[in-house]
Amino acid sequence: MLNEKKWIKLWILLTLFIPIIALFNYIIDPNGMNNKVHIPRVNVFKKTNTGYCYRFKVNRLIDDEFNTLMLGTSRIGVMDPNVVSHYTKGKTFNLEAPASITEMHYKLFMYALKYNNIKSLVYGIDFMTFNGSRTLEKTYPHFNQLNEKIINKEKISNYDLYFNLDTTESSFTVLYKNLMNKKIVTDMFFNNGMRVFYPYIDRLKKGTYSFDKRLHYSFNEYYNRVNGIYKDYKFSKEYLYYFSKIIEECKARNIKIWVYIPPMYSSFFDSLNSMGYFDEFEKFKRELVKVTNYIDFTGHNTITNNKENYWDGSHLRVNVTTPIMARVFNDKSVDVPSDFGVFVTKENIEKHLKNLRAQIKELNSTEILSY
Amino acid sequence: MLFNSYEFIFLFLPITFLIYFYLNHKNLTQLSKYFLLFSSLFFYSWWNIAYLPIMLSSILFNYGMGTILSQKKSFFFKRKTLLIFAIIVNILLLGYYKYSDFFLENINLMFSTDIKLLHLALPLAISFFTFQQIAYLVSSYRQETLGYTFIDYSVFVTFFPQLIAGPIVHHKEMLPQFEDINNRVLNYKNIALGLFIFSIGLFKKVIIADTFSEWATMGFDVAEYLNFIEAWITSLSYTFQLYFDFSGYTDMAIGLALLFNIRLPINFNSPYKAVSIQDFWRRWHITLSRFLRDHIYIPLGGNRHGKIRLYTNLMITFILGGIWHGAGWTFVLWGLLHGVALVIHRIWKDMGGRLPVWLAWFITFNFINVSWVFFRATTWSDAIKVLSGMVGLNGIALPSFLATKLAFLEPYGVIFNGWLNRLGGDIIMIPWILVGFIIVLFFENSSEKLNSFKLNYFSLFWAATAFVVSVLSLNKVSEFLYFNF
Repeated sequence: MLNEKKWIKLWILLTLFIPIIALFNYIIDPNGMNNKVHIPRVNVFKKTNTGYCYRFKVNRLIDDEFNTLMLGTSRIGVMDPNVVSHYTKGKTFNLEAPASITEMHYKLFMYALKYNNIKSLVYGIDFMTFNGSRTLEKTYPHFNQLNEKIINKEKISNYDLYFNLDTTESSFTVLYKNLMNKKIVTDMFFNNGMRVFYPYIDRLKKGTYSFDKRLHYSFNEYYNRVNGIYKDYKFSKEYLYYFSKIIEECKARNIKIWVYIPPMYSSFFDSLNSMGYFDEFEKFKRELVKVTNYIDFTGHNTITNNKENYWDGSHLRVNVTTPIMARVFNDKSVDVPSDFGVFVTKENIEKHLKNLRAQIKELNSTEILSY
Repeated sequence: MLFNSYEFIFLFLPITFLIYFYLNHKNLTQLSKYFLLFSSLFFYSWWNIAYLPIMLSSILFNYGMGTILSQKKSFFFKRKTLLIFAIIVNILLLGYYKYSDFFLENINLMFSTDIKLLHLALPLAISFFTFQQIAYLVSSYRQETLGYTFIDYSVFVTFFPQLIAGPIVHHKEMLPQFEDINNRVLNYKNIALGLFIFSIGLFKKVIIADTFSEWATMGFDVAEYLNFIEAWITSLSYTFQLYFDFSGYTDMAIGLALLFNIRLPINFNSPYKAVSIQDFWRRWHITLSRFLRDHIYIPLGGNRHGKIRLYTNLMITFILGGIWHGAGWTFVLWGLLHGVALVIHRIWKDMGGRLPVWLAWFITFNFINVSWVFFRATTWSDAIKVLSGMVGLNGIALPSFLATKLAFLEPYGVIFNGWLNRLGGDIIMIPWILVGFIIVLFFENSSEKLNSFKLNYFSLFWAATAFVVSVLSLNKVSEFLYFNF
């Protein structure tokens, strides 16, 4: 038996494990969230920071470093901000949010404006970002958790990450890998917000990378009946409103804006038709042009027909940033295939959509669903 | 502020505790009471300060009405008229914030109108503090509340451990404790007991309930596709989530109150061990059952006017209990199901019916499990989708390693892959469900632990481990389910 005072003292003493573990996690910093302590053979190789996408990105935005933003989904995330900087003559941050909706774009954009003197916005907009069935509460719990702070433009502390068993587990993994001098091959965000698919690069080097396999994973990711990105797709007027607000905000603040629809791989484009989404896909483009002109890179063209330009059905290899941005910024000095990218206005939209419809190749929907 | 948050555990609680007892130590007992009130209001306002005036107005109104009602004579109006008026005001306040949209939606549906919904944010804890104060009004009418000051009354309503989600406390069990001078000094036994029970509650919420919550949410999100096993995992996950979430909250509330030398009433007594629906309601959310019994069932006549009246009273009480939980037809249906079950149980008992204990438990548990599906589902059709899965209408899938052993089932439509795909495919769900059963059926519950608590290394080890592991798992701060009611 213990007396009451001793029991309480020992309880407090044992709970001191909590700050000790937090300190350990802070030093190891397994996901590179603070980058304060660098000890060779201890914490130099890190695990992915993409699991903390929103925290990582908003934390990068608070130092007034950037004057150009790239906004959109992970399709934009894989593009190189340096290419954009070349045109906007500034420092660019890639503010992608994976499989995001425009509500998130608007909130992240406003957050960025609070801390940076933004002069240019390069906005890659996607069909998926208008799916009204995807909501902050249901689909994006990690964003939702930070939602209020992002709306209020508060700085987001990472201290809770250190008081965390998952982080502790990661810290031990990172410590072990570093002690063994083994690099951790994982997706990473660079400091400019760009996402790098190191595992794909690694497989490519080893000769084990298969585009067809990745394409089929993409089909599953989007068309899965249970939780696919396009599940229960319904075009959301509310999300169009958020998109319009971004455009209006740019006008009001004299921020230059370029809007484009990024190029998905051609079979993925075809699959939209096979899976019954093409009418909605066209509606999305019609609604978009009511708000602003844009460049549409989708369909069959020299870039989208070439597997070498893609990691999977929707993510481009980084080198494709160059022709895309050359077309967006109308740079004639770069050799861009003439069929790549159509400038869409209210006047030519119907002709453009008719042209795209004519490009569709039939795919077997059962085959698409079987992956 | 959530009990399971860093700011509560590391800042609010220690600061409040230390200042409260420091003031008492310096014989500033009145000031300590003010401080406790201020702390509770701060705790409440942390979410949204806009709710504070609503709660303060309610406290002011009810204290005023209680004071008038407790007088032997009242001017202008009969005391009973005043009591009815005060209760109606409370119900209207609750109804306005909680049921306006539900009411308007149904008006729109019935009369094909297009009245705009109000989309009012539900003030936190309104269901709890309204009930607590109605009970106070009734006691005042019975002249059982003489001599309480406004501060006493405010501390009783707002005391932060029980403010947000109960237990629904009665002034008779609380106010004398706040008055007791012995409760103003540090009591190390209570502190140890409080830390122990708080740690257990935190563990139940953060580790157990939040784990089950992931599978329940995942399952209800894809209700239309759930196969037999997935549907059962979904419903059982919610059944366990709800219990561990709410009883975890109650344990934390009891533990926190003990730090301040206040004993809150127990709210759970191993409800899933119940062997009848009546037994269940004596074990689940005990303080709500007590309120419904004292303020609805008995005033309606209870069992004093024949069987038909008794059955009607049971049905009314439980339908109102269902509506109290939320503004939706699924809650009404849930209350109705429980009312019907209680009536059937009464009839069965009156007929002298008996069942083996294991069968009685099996029927009771499954009824509760099925009824929680209606409680959790946002729409009637969502509930039906989950229940369809539970009876195998969406097919039966089994693990692939059974394919050879159970191949004879294939002609009956049983497949041998993707048996947990819609829930993320993690087989860990199965042992978790088993552990859930073991805990709810074979472990001591918290009130039993309170009574059997011993100051030894064993209790120390468990309390410290539960606390450390829980705090290190607070990464996904989630609200308690009963905050919504």
